[in-house]
Amino acid sequence: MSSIKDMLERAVELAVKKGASFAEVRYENVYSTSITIRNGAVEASASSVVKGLGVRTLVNGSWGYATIERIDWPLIEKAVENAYKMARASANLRRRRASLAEVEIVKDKVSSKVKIDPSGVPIEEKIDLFLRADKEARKYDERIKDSNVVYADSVVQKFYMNSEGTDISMKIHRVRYGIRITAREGNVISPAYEAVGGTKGYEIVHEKDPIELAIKVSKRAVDLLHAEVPKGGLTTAVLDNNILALIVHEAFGHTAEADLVLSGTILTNKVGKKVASDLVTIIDSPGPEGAYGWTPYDDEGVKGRDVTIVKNGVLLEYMQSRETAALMNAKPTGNARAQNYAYPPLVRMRNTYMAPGDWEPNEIIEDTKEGIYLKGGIGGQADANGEFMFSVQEAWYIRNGSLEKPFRGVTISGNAIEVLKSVDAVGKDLKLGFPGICGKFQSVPVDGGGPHIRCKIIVGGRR
Amino acid sequence: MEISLEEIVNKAVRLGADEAHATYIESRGYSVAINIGEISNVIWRHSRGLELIVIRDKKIGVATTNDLSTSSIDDLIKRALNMANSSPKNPWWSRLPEPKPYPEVSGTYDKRIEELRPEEIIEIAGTAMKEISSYDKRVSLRSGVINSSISKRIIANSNGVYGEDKGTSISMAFVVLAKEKEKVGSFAIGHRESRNLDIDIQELSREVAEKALTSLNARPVKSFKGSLIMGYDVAMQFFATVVAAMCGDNIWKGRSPLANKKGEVIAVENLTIIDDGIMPAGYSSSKFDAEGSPRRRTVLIERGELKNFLHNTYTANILNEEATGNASSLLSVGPSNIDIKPGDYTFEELIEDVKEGILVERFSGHMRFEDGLLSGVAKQAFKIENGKITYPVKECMIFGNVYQMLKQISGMTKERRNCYFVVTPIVRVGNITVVSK
Repeated sequence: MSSIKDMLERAVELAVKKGASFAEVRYENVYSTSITIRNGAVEASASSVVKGLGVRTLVNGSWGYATIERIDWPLIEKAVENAYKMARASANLRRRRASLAEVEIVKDKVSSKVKIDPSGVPIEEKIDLFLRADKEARKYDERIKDSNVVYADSVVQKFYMNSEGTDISMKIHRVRYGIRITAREGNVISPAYEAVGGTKGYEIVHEKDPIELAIKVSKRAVDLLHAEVPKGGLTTAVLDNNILALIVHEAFGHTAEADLVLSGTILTNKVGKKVASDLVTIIDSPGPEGAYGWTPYDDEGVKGRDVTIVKNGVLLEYMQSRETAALMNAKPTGNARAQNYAYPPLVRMRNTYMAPGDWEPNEIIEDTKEGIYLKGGIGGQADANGEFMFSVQEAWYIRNGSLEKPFRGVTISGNAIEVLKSVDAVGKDLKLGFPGICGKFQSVPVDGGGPHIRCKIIVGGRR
Repeated sequence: MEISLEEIVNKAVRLGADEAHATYIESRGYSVAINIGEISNVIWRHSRGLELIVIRDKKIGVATTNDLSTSSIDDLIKRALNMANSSPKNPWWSRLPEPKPYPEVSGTYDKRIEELRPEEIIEIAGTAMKEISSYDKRVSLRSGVINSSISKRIIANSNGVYGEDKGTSISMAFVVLAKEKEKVGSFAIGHRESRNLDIDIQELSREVAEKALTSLNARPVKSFKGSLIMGYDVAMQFFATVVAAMCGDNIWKGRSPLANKKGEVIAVENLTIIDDGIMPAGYSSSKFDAEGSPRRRTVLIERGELKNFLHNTYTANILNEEATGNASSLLSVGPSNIDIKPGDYTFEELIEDVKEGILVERFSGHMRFEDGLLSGVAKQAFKIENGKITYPVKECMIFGNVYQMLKQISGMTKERRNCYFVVTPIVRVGNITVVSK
C-alpha cells in the first residue's frame, strides 16, 4: 500500500512541476459481489475486482482528467501528462477560469464500522439466503407472477491526495438488497418494492431479515390487487417517510445541486426566499454513519458538513463542489462525488431528508377530514424546474380521520415547490434508511428520508 | 496481459471447470464535458477488463477483474470457480457455443479516431459552442458531451471459440436552451453517434439550436384523441420496446406478449424490421456477439408479419430455435442494430394529412414491452392542425398501447436517421390519447 501512496504523491508532485496550479489523485480498489435472483433462479451472480487511479489537474483555470487501471509508474506519468496537456489545451476556450474555494488541509483515515465483513461470508450462504427469500415470496400466493431479488455488497478502499497536502484514506463497506414483486389477477398488475442498505456489514441481513421482508412485499402486492384506482385531481395527502424520501431527493434535491443551479433550476437566485411552508426544513447530510450515502469526506478531500438547504421554508444554501462554491462565494459542503476512479467528481446528494416536526404520525391522519394516504414510491421522473411524476406503491382513501379503502395504480405529479409550500403538518417520526442508487451521468449510492407529512398534491390513477 | 485468453480458459478447465468462457475488453478515448456553456472537463480514459465464466456440473460462476497481473488472474479463476461451486445448478444450461466462421464487417474502425489528439476533440467542442451561440442570440449551449473511443475485444471458450475485434466510435450530445427576455425558456437535446469521424458538427449544432427556438412560447394543449407523429428519438424508443418483446430470454420467461405470435400479422404491411449485426458502420456492428457467436442479419417483422425471434445459444436450445448471434451475455439476449425499412412520405407529406395531431420529439415515461403500456410525458412537442404545425406544446401526457400502435402506423418518412442502435424513420400513428397535464 505504501508504494501505491508513494506513486500517488509523485503523481501530484509531477503535475505541479509541469505547471498545474492544483492537482489531485484518487486511487480506488473495489471488491464486490452481486446476486440477481428472478422467479426462483439465480439469473446472474458475479464477483468483481475493480482498481484504478484518476488524476485531475487545474491549469490556467481549466480542468483535465486522466484515468488508468494500472498502478505502474510509466502509465501514471502518461496519465499526468495527458491530464495536464488537456487542461492547458482547453484553457483557451474557457471564458471563466475555474477556481477552488478554500478548504482545510486534512490528513485522516476513516473506515465504516462493520460487525460482519461481507467479504468473509461465503457466497454460498448469501445465495442460499436470498433464494429462500425469493421462494417464500412466491409461495405466499399463487397470484405472485414475478419475483426479483437483488443483493450486492462491496468494500471500497480509497486513497486521496492533493497538491495542498490533503491525504485521506477511506475504507467503506456497503451491503444492499432489494425485493420487487409483481402480483397479477386478470388484467390487474400490481407491483411492490422495498430495499434495505447501509454502509455496514453483512449484519444488515440479521437486522432486517430478507425472508420476512420478501413476505411483506408479496403481501403488499397481493393486497393491492383488489384496490380501486383513485379519481384524479389536487388532493390533500398524507405522505409516509418512504414516498417523502423520494420527493425530497428526486423532485427537490437535484434542483439544489449547485452545478444544476448555475445551469438553471427552480431554485436559481432564490436564496433567502420562501420556497416551502414554515414547517419545512430540508437537510443534506454526510451521515449518519451507517447510512447508505455516508460520505465523511467527498472525492475532493473536503470534510462533509450538513447542508441546511431549506430552513423553516426559506432557501438557505445549495450543495457545492469546491469549484461551484468559489463561483458562488459559498462555504464548501463536501458534496463532490464520483462513481469511481474513472470519473471526475460532480455535485451529488448524500443523505437527504426533511427534518421532523411536532405531530404524531397517526394524529396527522386522524386530523384529516378527506384525503389520501400515500406510502412508498416505485419510480418516476423529475426535472430541473421542479416538475415531477412518481408512481406510488400503496394508498388509502382517508375519510374523517380513518383509512377507509385502499387504492392502487396511484401516481402523483406536480411541482415540488408548490407541494412543499402546501405542507401543513410535519410528523416527529424522522426515518432514514431508504437507500438508492442516484444517476446523474454517474451512479452514486444515496440515502434519505423524513417523517410523515401532510400536503396538497395532484393524484392520478392509472389502470 | 502476460497470459493469453486461451491459456486462462485452459487453466480454468484444468482447475475443475467443465467449460470456461473468457472476454477481454480494452478501450481508451477522450471525453469533453460542457457545462453552463463552458468546457468543464476534458477526460482521457484507458481501461482494461477481464471476465471469466466457468461452468461446472451446470453451475455457473462469473468473476471479473481489471487487474491483469498474474496473481490477480489466478485469483480470478479461483473466484469464478468458487462462485460456480456456491451456486445452484442451472437446469436449462446445455453447452457453450461451438466455433463458427466470423463475417467481415466494414466501417466500424476509423484510424482517424484512434489518432485523435485531445486538442482536436477540444476543437470540436469549441466549434459546437461557437455555432450554437452565433446561431441566434436567444440560444445558449447549456451542457454537452463529446466522446471518442477505440476498443478491442477478445473472446475465447473451452470449445475452441476464439475471436478478436476492434472498433472506434464517436458520439456527441448537446442540450441547448432558448430564452426570450423574461419568458420561460425552452430547451432541446440533440445527439449523433458514428463509428467514423464523420459527424457534421455544424449541422448538429444548428439543428439543436433551431429545435430549442421552435419550442419557445409553448402553450398548453386541450386534451384530444388524434395522430401521433413520433420524432426520431421517440420512434427509436418505440421500436426498441417492440424488439425487446422478440428477445429469446423474454419469450422463454413468459414476459413477452408475442411469444405465440410467430407467423401472425402483428403490424401494418409497410413495416419491416431487421436486426442487422453486420450493418456497415452500424452502431452495434461487430464480428461476434457476447458469447462469441457470429453476428448476422435476422428478419424480425416482414411486411407486418412476425417472422423470427432473437436468440443466443442458451435460449435457442431451450426454445428449440436457431441462435441468431444476439447474445448480450451467455444467458441474455439483446438486439444489435435495428433496421426499420423506410416509408414513402416526406416529412411535409406526413404532416399534411393530419387533421389534429401532435409531433413529439422527446418523451419521458413508460414504454413497456410486457404489456404494451405507453404512458408518459411529451417533453418537447408541437400541435398539428389541418396539416400544419401550429404551436409548441407545453408538457402533456400521452397514452397508448405499443402493440395496438404497430397496427395503426399510418405513414413513415423515406428519410431515416441512425438514432443510437436504431435506424428509424419518423412515424405517424393514428388514434393516440393526449391529455393536458
